[in-house]
Amino acid sequence: MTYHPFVTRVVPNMLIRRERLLPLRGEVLVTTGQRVQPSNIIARTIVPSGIHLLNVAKALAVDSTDFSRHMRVGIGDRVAEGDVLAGGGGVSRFFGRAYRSPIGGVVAGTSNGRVLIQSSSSTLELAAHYRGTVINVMSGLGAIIEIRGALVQGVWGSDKEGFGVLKLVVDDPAKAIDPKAIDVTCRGTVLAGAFSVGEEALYRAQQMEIQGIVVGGLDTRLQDLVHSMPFPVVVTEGMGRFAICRPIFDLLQAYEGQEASIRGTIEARGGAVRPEIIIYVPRTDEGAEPEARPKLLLERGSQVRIVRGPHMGETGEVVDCPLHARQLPTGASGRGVEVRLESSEEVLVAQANVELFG
Amino acid sequence: MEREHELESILVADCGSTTTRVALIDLVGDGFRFVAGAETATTVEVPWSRLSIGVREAIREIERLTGRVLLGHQEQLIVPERDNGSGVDGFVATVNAAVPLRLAVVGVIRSLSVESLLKATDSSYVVIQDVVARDDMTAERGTGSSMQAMLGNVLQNRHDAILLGGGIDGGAIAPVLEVAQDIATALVAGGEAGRTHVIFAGNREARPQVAQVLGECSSLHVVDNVLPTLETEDLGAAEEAIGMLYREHKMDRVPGFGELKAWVSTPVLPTAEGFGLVLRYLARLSELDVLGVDVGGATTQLAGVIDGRYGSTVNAEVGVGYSLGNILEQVGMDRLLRWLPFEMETEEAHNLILNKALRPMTIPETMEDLALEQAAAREAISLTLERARSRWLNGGSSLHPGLLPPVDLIVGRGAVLSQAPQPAQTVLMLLDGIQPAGVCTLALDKVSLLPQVGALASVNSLAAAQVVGRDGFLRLGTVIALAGTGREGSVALQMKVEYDDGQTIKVEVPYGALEVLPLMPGRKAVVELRPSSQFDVGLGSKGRRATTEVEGGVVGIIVDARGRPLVLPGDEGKRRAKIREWSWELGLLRTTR
Repeated sequence: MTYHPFVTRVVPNMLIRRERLLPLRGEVLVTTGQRVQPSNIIARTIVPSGIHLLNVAKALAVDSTDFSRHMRVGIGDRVAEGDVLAGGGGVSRFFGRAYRSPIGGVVAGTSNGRVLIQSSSSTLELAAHYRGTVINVMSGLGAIIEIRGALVQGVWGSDKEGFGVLKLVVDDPAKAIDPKAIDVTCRGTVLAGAFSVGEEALYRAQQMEIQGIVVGGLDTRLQDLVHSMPFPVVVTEGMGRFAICRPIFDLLQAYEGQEASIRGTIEARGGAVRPEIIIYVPRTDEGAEPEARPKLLLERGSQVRIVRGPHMGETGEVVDCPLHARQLPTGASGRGVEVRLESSEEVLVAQANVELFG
Repeated sequence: MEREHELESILVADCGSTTTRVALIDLVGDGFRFVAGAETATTVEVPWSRLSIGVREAIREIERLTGRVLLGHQEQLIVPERDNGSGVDGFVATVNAAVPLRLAVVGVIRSLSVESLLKATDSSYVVIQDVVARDDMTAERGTGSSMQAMLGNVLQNRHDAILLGGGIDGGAIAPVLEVAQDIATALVAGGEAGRTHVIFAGNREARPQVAQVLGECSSLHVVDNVLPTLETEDLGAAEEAIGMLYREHKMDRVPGFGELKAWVSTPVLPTAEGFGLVLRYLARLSELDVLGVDVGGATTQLAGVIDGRYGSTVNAEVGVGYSLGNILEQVGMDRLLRWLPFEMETEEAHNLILNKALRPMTIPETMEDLALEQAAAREAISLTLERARSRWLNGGSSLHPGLLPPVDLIVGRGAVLSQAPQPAQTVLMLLDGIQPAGVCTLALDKVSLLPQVGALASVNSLAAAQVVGRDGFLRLGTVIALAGTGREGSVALQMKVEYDDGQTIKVEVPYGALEVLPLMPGRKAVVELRPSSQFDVGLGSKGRRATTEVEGGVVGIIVDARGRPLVLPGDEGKRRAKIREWSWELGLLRTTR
């Protein structure tokens, strides 16, 4: 049976399209065909907060259905604490009582005798995050940017973004990041380690204003600390102590010194946004392929990574895809694949527990 | 009925969050039978992004297994069946591959309308993001903080829909109207009229005014009041409206869903709905109280018919794949690790759990990993049962206020149950998670057919009935579970088993034990139960004797004398020893560390 395994994109040179969307409707600042740099603001919106619903009609004991004639403010007006919102003469000559705002802010809405005051708000500016060309603008929402670069997908990430020169701080994927290796030469870079990252290295990276870290595994106890850091951490293998697998490490090594955009966003379902690193390949490189749907099936000769069980994190080549179910060490019966590991050892792994690179 | 006769061969598919299963049902001899089944990974995520890819792969596997051509030109399903035997007459599908609907629930009185509204959300794949009751705001001296937080979320577009209710039919209009006006203020401020859906399921008399207030600033759906009188609940219309929104705004937007829709002979149903239909059908057919539990990767569902009343709880964020992290968050690591017969470092357990949640389609390859996943399944069932108790499963047990009311049949489904290496592991997960009391049959949807058969019933009820009867279940056995507590080791139950071949055995089961007596599938036995004075075998009275006929299964007769509610020893060593003892009795020890 043909099987569609999980696929991790590890591609040296391709045309990549990425949507950059505001969480709320706002203003888009770029046009189709425009070149953008990662730090360019491409859209912005106002994020409301500090919502106060004031039932003014009730407080003034008047009918809410015909309240508009009593209103002294309109949508968008800025009011200070104590300002009259409704009543108090003026518009309603026969209506002497006034309703004063208990709080300062902007009138966000008025209806049915109520006033919605927004006491605070923030402007959210959406950066391009990528270097590329705007190929489509979605009015009020954002844009699609086309990028030429190398793509590496991770499996877990902290929800931040960064941009900087890619720098490897280890020469061997089996080594952990040494905090001492994060020195002034690392300032503003995207660091690629290998084995894992510890607490000290994270604080050191914060000090050096690192733009992001790529590691193989992560100690689950560090998740909260990682989330509190101003930069993203992208994990390529999984939770625990895992070296970055060889195909990813080799690609990162090949492009060391190039600029890269790193994004830790992860959405497991409904579109499956994965953490990723996009490295801008030198202009001399030709032949970038469009980011097509990979036609990848699990078959003899496939390069795979094992993603569960005792061999998790190891890579190898599929040497056989037995047609019939096999018994796994748990006693369960299921489809398996024979994988020749880098160490030349051949192991039987559940079909569901391997993923392809593509 | 004419149409029913036309459908003699049917493909049925269920697209779960991680696994897609397809089965071929056909006329074999004098009736409909399950002919072949296949499963593959659900291909809804990138880079595949098309549900139909996985469905086609599974169909191709069925072609390989049966030698029958099902896909024709451009890989389209051949419908109807041709004279040469290729193709099928129909295709039905259920889907659980969409993300849940994000809802805010807003009512007038927490203990009345809000409770009823929450119950109505239980039958669909829903995540509740805000719950607001007007009387809470009054209690908070009018600060209305929960309402304001909810309105803030409305402005930030964080809900797919707002479920609004309040008041009994003919009661006061003002309270629910005030809530509607509060909501309208935020919707008007948010602009883009009609973007947010509002389902109004409150006081019937308030409909015109609510329509006036919310009609222009939202997509308003007016349905029957969930609480028409103080004594009666009517959840059907609200449930249907929520289900409709889920289908239209979540299920229909699953990549590749349109292609699937073009193939089907009857509307695609959410898996939970299909499972609910088949359980109702079973209960009616057999006149039994039936409970079904589906432990999926993203969702856990508990549904059933007890005392003629149907209920369903879909726990849309509790499952043993994508949602595994939520189980850990809700119950904590200690509650998970308590089910393991060996010690496991917390860090190791954390890693295993989070890595499974990151790659939910993977399966355990070590006994440690398997035991942890099965522990999570117990907690997924337990969490869902807890919620079901607070919503519909609250008829109360005659045996113990905290126990499940007696049921005749418990049916499990979901890969963690149906693909457990040993059927006895499935039995243990069901017993520990549900803690049934009394005598009941345990069965398993081994080939994952039931939701699809529920959907099939609308186009071919005969096929549905025959497939459920003949191939729908794997009978695990009959469980005799004692309610009560006693002294460890003291005799809790004396029983005599008279097999249908004339053999008789007598057994004494001590309190705290789990014992298995062989009784093969298809065989029957008469059991005479004599519980000691502290225990009840499901008759509502301690020490009361009973004689009943039981059927066999792949595990046999399981006597669960661990008492109810089940209490695990507090001491870690003793607890692990107990769990090993129970595993040994069920023949699982060789497969545990």
